[in-house]
Amino acid sequence: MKNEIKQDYRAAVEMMQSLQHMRDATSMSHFDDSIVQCKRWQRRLEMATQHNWPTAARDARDRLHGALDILRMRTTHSIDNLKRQSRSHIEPTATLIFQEIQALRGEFDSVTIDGSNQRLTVTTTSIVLDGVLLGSFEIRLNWKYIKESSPFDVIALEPNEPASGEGVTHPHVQSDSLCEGEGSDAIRRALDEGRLYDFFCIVDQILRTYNSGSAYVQLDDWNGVNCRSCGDTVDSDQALACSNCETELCMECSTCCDSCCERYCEECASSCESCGDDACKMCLKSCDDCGESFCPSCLSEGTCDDCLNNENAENAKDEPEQPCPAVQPVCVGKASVPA
Amino acid sequence: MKVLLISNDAGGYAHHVEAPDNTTVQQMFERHVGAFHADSYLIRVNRQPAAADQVLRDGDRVSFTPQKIEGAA
Ligand SMILES: [Zn+2]
Ligand SMILES: [Zn+2]
Ligand SMILES: [Zn+2]
Ligand SMILES: [Zn+2]
Ligand SMILES: [Zn+2]
Repeated sequence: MKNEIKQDYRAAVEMMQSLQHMRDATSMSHFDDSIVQCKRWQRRLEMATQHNWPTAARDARDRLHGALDILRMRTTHSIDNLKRQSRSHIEPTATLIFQEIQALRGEFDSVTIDGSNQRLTVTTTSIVLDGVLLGSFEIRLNWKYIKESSPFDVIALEPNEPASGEGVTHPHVQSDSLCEGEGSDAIRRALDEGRLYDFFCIVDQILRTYNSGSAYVQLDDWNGVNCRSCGDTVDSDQALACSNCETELCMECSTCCDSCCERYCEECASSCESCGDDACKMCLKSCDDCGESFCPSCLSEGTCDDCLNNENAENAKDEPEQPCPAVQPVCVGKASVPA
Repeated sequence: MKVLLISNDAGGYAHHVEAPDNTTVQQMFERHVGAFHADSYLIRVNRQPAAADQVLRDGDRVSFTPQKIEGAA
């Protein structure tokens, strides 16, 4: 307990330093460097122009342009920081941040501090949105970067990722990053003011809200299955698995074998050479004679109808012509009659 | 009395406000933020769960966090 308090306070002090760090960055010293650079290239440009040195003038102009750009960037950055500070009504202190961490321990089941990685992690309870179970999430604040945009990760502990949308663990979380939406100003302000308790509550509430108008994957499609053939998303209860290889397919992309009445993927289904009916590769057998594939009803004892017909025809041709037993004696008799 | 009022809605403002004695959480919200629906907000007084009719005291910190905050993509 005593160690936990110590650890919380140490974290609070470090967070305060991270927040302070940015305030110091608004000091004017880095403007001085920028202005010196601008003046320097301005002088070079004047000199090159006077002496009519076109190459040197071009170079000086480019460099002056670059130096002015940096000055402009630094100015914009400082104005942004000033705006942030003027909007802040609470000045963070280490004591205040410490109280915030203490309060988090009352609000969330698990609050952990990883001092070496400068990370404060809170675990949410399990989240279900519109009947879709998304499980619990870790909200990890990387306090070293507390003044930067989105200095936190949102990690699904029991990820239930939809078939479509890689790395999506929540309608508003992709690659462990939350799209803050309408919460972004409140998050920024809470962090700037060291109100960690509010920050974690806001993120928790965003995770408990579904905005169907802007989601990485719609909850309606969450439990869907991607047809491996056409790529469409279909409801999991409407998807079909190939009876042989278990590839998941939509109705249109699966073929029913006319022989066994199971459904198959394109790879595992074919058709009978003779009648043209759809048949799976298990039901199709090759003819012992020609080797082509046929459905069970087109094979008799391992031979296809064509080969059977050919065989019969061959047999008929090969048979020696039998003399008609009745003819000869009659002829003989007939011949003998006139004789 | 003086109360720190934090509204974690779109703006996320925090400011100190003057209030008459015996002001409740709900009255505070209605006076400074707008129409109040108790079940649409997490209400915390000094970072502890509180009811809408809780009476505030000088120096209290009261925060309202909407139950619905829409993320995006
Ligand atoms: Zn398909
Ligand atoms: Zn079959
Ligand atoms: Zn298959
Ligand atoms: Zn057939
Ligand atoms: Zn055959």
